[in-house]
Amino acid sequence: MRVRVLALGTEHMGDDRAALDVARALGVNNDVSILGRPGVGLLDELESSADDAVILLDAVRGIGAGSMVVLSLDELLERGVTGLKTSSHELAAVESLRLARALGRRTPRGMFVGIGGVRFAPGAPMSPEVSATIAKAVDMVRMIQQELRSRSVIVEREGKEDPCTNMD
Amino acid sequence: MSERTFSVDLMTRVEGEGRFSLTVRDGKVIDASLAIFEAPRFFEAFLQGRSTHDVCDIVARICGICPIAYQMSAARALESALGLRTTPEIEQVRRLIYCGEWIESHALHVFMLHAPDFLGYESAIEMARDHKPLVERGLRLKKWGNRLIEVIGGRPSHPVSPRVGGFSRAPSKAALLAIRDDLARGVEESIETARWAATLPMPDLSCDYVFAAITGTSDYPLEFGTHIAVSGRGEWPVEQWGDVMVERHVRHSNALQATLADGTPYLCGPQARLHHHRDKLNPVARQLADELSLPATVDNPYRSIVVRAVELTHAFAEALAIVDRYERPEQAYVEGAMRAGVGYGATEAPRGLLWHRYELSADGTVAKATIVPPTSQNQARIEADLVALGPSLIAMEHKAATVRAEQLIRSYDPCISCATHFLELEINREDVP
Repeated sequence: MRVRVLALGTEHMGDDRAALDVARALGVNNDVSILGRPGVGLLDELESSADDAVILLDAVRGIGAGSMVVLSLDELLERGVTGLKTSSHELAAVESLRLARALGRRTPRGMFVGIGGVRFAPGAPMSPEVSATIAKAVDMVRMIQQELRSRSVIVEREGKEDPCTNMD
Repeated sequence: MSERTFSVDLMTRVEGEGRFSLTVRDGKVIDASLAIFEAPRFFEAFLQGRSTHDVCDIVARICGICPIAYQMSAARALESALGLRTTPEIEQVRRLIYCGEWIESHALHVFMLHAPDFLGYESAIEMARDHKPLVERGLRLKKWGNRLIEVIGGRPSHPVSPRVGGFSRAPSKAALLAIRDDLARGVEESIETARWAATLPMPDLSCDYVFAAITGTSDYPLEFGTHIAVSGRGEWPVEQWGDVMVERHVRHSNALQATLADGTPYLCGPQARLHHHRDKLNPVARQLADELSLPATVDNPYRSIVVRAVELTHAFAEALAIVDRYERPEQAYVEGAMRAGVGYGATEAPRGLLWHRYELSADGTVAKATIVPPTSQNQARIEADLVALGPSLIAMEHKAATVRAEQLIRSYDPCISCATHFLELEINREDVP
């Protein structure tokens, strides 16, 4: 199974760049995409990946600078509004997922990796805590990629469903 | 004496934060204000000292929904300062990519931002559960607009090919023909959209508008105009915007407010364009307007959703016609020597008149930039409309009053990022008997 990494964020708005830096460190290619702020365009990205697994990367508010949160996409839908505040694209990932589900569109299985930020002003530098977390986030994404792929193999062999909802 | 204060906070959206306040004494509105707390973004200052050729890329970042409007107004102004004249073939490509922007912007607003108000939903997500075909249509139309932008501009948002003098590369005929079927379907689906919008229940409100839009060509205004038409006042060259309109700070808002020089608020955007140029609509859109009995002067701001839908048809039909007659320009751009000068440019962004002025140094770097977006021009008019709406709000329940005020403000498609459902209403009932 293909595992796509989709990075959300903004280049010149402090910690909102975190996911983009992670994607660059992973190496942008067919499986690692920098989407920036796709808005409702994320729906099409998700639908086109419906047979794959995805890892959504984004900066989040509500957790400490440089902290990370890893959720299944289902958990993200449950906790996205009350538990986490994402950055300037305003819950784009959560709202897009929610809209896709409301429309009955097929969506991929996968995980959400959020990197806690505190600076989101235009032109602001990235927080030192966030900068220090990029390498850890890269390792985390690689681990999740591997986990998703290996679970996919198990699922295909044993006929299980949804390999992505019990990652913790 | 009885006095009630309605206050509406605009919050949660990073790019915009503000407050609507309405005070009514003895049944009369005595104060209404819309405060927009846009975070200072300093784009005009960023441009100082930058090369002429950097400007289109920088101003595109002002807005993710209407970057082309900023690029085109800037290019016009800079070409004016440099004495550059583009070719008719380049101008066709400009009109075509601008159609793409109108399509994606209008589709987003009609279906995703404004329709939930009319149908009684808190958001498009809620609406999608009951109106799946409607929301899918909106997403589909928006995607076709973005696709048109991508084919010409290199990517669906913040396109990179527009530049001073034209485009870094003009699209091939084959690339445009590949999306022709989508544009043709867009014409049909946007017609259905306008017919549907015309059936929506419209709150009753009539406003005495002064309409402002660019003019000076035989086409419905979009990517170019030589003059600014102000209803009941006359027409002035684009260069004289500052003589006719003034921007000023108001205490309750970080955004500048524009009015006519005598202090009169004015309206720009779809209703203003229709008022001045209904007879110039693409024949398909004009026939649609006739079918819907849509007059040139629409004085109910809520009805702007119908006007916007007719403009959606106009943009699709225009794009289709341009694609059908398109031949790739031999020259994608024209060039000229740098020189000192002052230039002005105005185009019609989806939400209204967008005016730029640049002073260039002898080496072509920007010495001074002035950008007047449509939302700041409409802000005073929004406040005037809230005054008109005030009496009917007082008679309504708290929640219904909130929705009605939100719906009115959204009628202007204000360019505050993520403008959906940003208002909270507090009613001070201390003095209500």
